[in-house]
Amino acid sequence: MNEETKTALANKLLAWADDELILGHRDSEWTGHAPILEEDIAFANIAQDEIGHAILWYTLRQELTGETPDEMAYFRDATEYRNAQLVELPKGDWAVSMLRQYLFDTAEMILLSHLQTSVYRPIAEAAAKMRPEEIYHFRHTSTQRLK
Amino acid sequence: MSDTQWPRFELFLQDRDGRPHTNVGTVHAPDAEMALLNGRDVYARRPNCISLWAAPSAAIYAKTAEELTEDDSWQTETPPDDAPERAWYVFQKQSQRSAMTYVVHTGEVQARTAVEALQKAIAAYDDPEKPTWVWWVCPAEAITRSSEEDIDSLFIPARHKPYKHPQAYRTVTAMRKIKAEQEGQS
Repeated sequence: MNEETKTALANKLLAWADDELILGHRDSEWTGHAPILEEDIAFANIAQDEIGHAILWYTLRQELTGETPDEMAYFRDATEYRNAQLVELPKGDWAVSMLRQYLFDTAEMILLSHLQTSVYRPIAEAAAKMRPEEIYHFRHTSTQRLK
Repeated sequence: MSDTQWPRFELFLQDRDGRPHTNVGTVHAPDAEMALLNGRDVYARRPNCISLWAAPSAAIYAKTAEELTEDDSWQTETPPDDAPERAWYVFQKQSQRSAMTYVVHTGEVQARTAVEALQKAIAAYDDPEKPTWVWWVCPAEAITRSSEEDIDSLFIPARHKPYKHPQAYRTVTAMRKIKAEQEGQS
């Protein structure tokens, strides 16, 4: 892999990882405060899954740049993050958070199904690992959206 | 007093192939699908699970052994002849030992009403060697089940996450080490 490709790949992984980390944090803000007990538990589980995905992407990036997930998560300034603006928006009310999660889950379903066929094996494997969890997330938030 | 909560559903969990479903608790949910999804997060995050059932609490006819002896009208009730027969699942609590589960799925009867289902269940499944403390009967059609395809997304992820178990954190070992160091210094 040449340097240009390596850099591009590392940046892409950073963007995906930052999305997951920030979204996981925003989701976790609801822990203990959600309107329904069962939803509180379910959403905390979703938050935990997202942070797990972040670790997965940071770890893949570490193979390219050497920087550890901890370094990325704890020792960067706000301006160094490359997440989408959607995930950093304040949590709003429950409906806003549910809808944001639903939109993110929908995007993930599409992204991960394509990434499973990536020629870069680590990405294909990571996507295959995340997909079952995202299927559950999508099922949960799309069902919620209809209620 | 009106209940402002969503309806209640009973969850039944099967931890391994060949084992019966057992009642692990309830959730409030707007419908059976959400009861399964949220039930998975409340009850199947750490324990092994391959199948989850949800049934509305209102659909379950439940009697304790005490209630059955106090009021034995259930023994003589006969259902109307023209009522259709349907399948009822039978659940029994026969052990006082497990704290985290309640009744266990033991079988099925055909009956026209809940009371008839209970009569037939007792006739078929009562065991003098092993008294039953609680009987539940529930129409089979009231039960919503997770499917084979659900196992991958609903239940497998939990198995890759040992950090959710207290055993993954060796706090006793760590504390002993710290204590030994402190005592070594003093």
